[in-house]
Amino acid sequence: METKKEFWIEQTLNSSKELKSVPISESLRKRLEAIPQTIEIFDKRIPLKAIWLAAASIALLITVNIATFNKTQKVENQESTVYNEYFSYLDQL
Amino acid sequence: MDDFPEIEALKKGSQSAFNCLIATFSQKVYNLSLGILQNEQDAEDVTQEIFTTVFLSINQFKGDSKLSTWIYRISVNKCQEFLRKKTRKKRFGFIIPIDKAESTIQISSNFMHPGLELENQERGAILFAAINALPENQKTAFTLFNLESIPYEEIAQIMNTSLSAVESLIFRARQNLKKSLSDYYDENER
Repeated sequence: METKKEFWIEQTLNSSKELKSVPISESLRKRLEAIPQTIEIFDKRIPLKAIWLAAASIALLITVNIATFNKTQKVENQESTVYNEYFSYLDQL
Repeated sequence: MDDFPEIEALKKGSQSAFNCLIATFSQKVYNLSLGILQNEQDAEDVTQEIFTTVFLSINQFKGDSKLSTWIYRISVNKCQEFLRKKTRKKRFGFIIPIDKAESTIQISSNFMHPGLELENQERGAILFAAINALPENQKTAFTLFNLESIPYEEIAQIMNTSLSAVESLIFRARQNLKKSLSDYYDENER
């Protein structure tokens, strides 16, 4: 029984040796050969200048946002200092 | 280290050199992808992705290894990446916990490799299902050695590992396959 099982396992493992190389389909070959043209079209469609311009715009937008946020926080801090001073003055009275 | 004479023309973007590259390597790349992915449509899509990467990054090829080794390395990475994405999608779709995901793998594949003769198709399907259940690195090493007949030294270069690690991976893969097949035999063939 064990011998039969071992034989079956060996045969199944060795079935990979019977494997033949599969040729690629004609449609895949055409898809592969078209790769350089596809990439060229993509390169032409989006000029490098436009990509850099978009990146610069995003960077500028982020900088303006951070600057505005910092400025708003500073004003809020100043306001709270004024209020604190006013109320401590009232307390003294 | 030169297994493709038109490499300089390829680096300059020559279409005829690229066609020559396709003629030389496309079948090997497709068969490797087919062995790892076990799906003809996925293998075609990943093969296209591999050749796109090769075309875009050919200037990064320094010639330290054979061009075929470099292409195989890209192929293995792309196939593993594809499988990870697919597994993530499945796990997300069915909400399978990570610890239970491995145990759900059973020998029940319906993948019929087109390179097998009809009388070996059933046996092949059982073997491919068992290979599919192996850990990622064991599966890759076993596929490269047993299905693509790539020597150990080249597998080590492709997988960025040592020769002894490759030997160990293939040995453990065979042990695991024997165990899976033994369990399958006990359940079905007796």
